Amino acid sequence: MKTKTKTKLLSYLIPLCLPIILFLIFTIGTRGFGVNSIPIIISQSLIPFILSFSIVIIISTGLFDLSIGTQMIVIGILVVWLSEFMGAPGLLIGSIGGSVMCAALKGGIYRLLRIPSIILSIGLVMILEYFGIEAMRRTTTMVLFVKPEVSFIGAPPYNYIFTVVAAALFYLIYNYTVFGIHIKLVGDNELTAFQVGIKVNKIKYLAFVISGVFVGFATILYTCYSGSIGFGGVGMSTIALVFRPLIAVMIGISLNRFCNNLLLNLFIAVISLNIIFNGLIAFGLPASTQDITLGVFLLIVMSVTENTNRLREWRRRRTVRKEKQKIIA
Amino acid sequence: MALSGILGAMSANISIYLLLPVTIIVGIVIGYINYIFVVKFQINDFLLTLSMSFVLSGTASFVLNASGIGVPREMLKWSSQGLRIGVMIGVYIICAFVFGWTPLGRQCKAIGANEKAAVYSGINVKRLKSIAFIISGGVAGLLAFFSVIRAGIANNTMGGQLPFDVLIVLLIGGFPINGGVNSNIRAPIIGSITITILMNGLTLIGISEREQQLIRGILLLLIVTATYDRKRTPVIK
Repeated sequence: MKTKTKTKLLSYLIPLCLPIILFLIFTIGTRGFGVNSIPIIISQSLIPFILSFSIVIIISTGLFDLSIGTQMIVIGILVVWLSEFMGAPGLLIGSIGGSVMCAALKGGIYRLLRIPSIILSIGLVMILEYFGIEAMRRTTTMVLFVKPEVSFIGAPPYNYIFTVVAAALFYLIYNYTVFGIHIKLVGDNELTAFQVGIKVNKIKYLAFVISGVFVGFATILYTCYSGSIGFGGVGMSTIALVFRPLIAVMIGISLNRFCNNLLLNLFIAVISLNIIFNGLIAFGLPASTQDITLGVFLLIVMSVTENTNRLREWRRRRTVRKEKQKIIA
Repeated sequence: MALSGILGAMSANISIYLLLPVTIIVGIVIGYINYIFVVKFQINDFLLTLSMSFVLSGTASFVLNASGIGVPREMLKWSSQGLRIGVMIGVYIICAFVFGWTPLGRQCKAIGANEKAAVYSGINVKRLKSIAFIISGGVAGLLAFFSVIRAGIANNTMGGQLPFDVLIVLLIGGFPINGGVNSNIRAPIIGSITITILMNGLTLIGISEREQQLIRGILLLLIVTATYDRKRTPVIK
C-alpha cells in the first residue's frame, strides 16, 4: 500500500519537474523573472488551457479541428455586441450558447459532407473569417471594446473561477461519463467501436458540440481579458490561435506516460510553454526566438516520447549483450 | 521558403549567381531534416510541419534582423514571364515523367496506397521518403528563388499562406488527400489554373478579398465532397 502511494506520488511529481526546472532556469538566468511572474504566467495560461480541453475532445474522437480559434473570435465579436444590450449575462450566455450552436452546425456539416475533418476545418476557417470581418464592418470599426462593467470577468478571481469550472467539467466528462469512454473508443478504433454497438456518428457529432462548450468558456475569457476584440483581416491568420493549445495538448498527452492525469498534464504543458515564452522575454531575446523555442520544444518532446520504447528496447538489448559477454567470459 | 529566400538573398549580395544554388541547397537541407524527424524519430508528419514552421519562421526572422533583405538590381531582369513559364513546363515534364513512367513514381504511389504492403513488396520506403522530402525541399527553394527575383527582396513572410493555398490547389485539382494509386501530376496544374482564373476573374468583377476567401472556402468543401473517394476509406477522420 505504501509502495503504491509512493509510486502514485512519484508519477505526479515527475511531470511537475518540467515547469519547476524551467522556472528555476529562467529565475537564476535572468533578472526580472521570478516569483512575481507567476500570476502573469498563470493568467496567460488560462485561455490556452481551456481551449486545450476542446482540442482533446476532438482529437480523442480521431478528428481534427483547426477552426476553433476562428470560432472563438467570431463568437467573441457577436457576444461583445450582445453584451452592449444585455451586459454580463448576455456575454456569458451568448459565448457558450453561440459557441455550442456554431459547433453543432460544424458537426452537422461534417456528417452531411462526409469529408476529412481537417479539410472541413480549413474550409470553415475561410468561411468563418468572412463572417467575422462582415460583423466588424457592420460596426464601422475593426476593434470592439468590452464595457468595464462586463470585462471584470476576465480579471481575478472570476477568470480563475471560470477556469476551475471548465476544468472540473472537462475532467468529469472525459473520465466519468459514458461519452468520455465512447470518444476514446471511437478514436482508438472506429470500426471496432461500431461493431460493439456504439453510434459512431452520434459520438462524433456530440464531440463537436461538447468541444463548443469549452470554446465558449475560452471566448468569455478571451473577450474580457484584453477588454477588446479585433479582426486582423482575411488570410487564415486566426488558425494560429489554435497552435499553442494544440502543442500543449501534444505535450500533455506525451506526459501521460508518466502521470495518468490528463488535466494535470495539460496544465503543466501550458504553464511550461508560458514560462518559456516569458523567460525568453526576460532574457531580452527577440520575439522570433519564441517561435524557434516553441518548435524545438515540441520536436524534443515528441522525439523523446515517440522513441521511449525504442530507447528502452535498445537499453534492454545492451544489458542482455553485456550479460552474455560476462557469461562467456 | 522564407529561410531559403533570406539566405539566398544574403548570398546574392556576395555574388548574384549564388542565389539559385543557395536557395535550392537550403531547401534540400531542410527537406532532409524533415525526413530525419519523420522517418528516424517517427514524429507525426502534421506535428512536424507545425513545429518546423515555427522553427523556420523564427530562424528566418532571427537571421534577417530587419524587415527585408534586397538583392542586386540586375537580378530583377531575371524575373521574366518566359523564364517562369519555361521552368514551370520543365519541372512539370520532369515530374510527370518521373511520377508516371519510372519505378520511383510507381513506388511512391504504392507507399501512399498501402505502406505495409509496399514494405513487404521490397520497396525501400525510407529511401523513397527521403527522396520525396528532398525533392519537396528543393522545389520550395526554387520557389523562393523566383519569389526573391520577382520582388527584389526577401523577408520572413514569404510563402506564409502557401501551405494552405497549395493544399487547396491540390484538392481542387482532384488530388486524393491520402495519396495512393489515384495520385496524378495533372492535379496541381488543373487546380492552380482553376484557382488562378477564378481568383483573377472574381477580382475583375469587383469581388473583394474577403468574399473571394468565402468563395474559395465553399468551393473547397464542395469539390472535396464531390471528389472524395469514400469507397476506399471506410473510416473518414
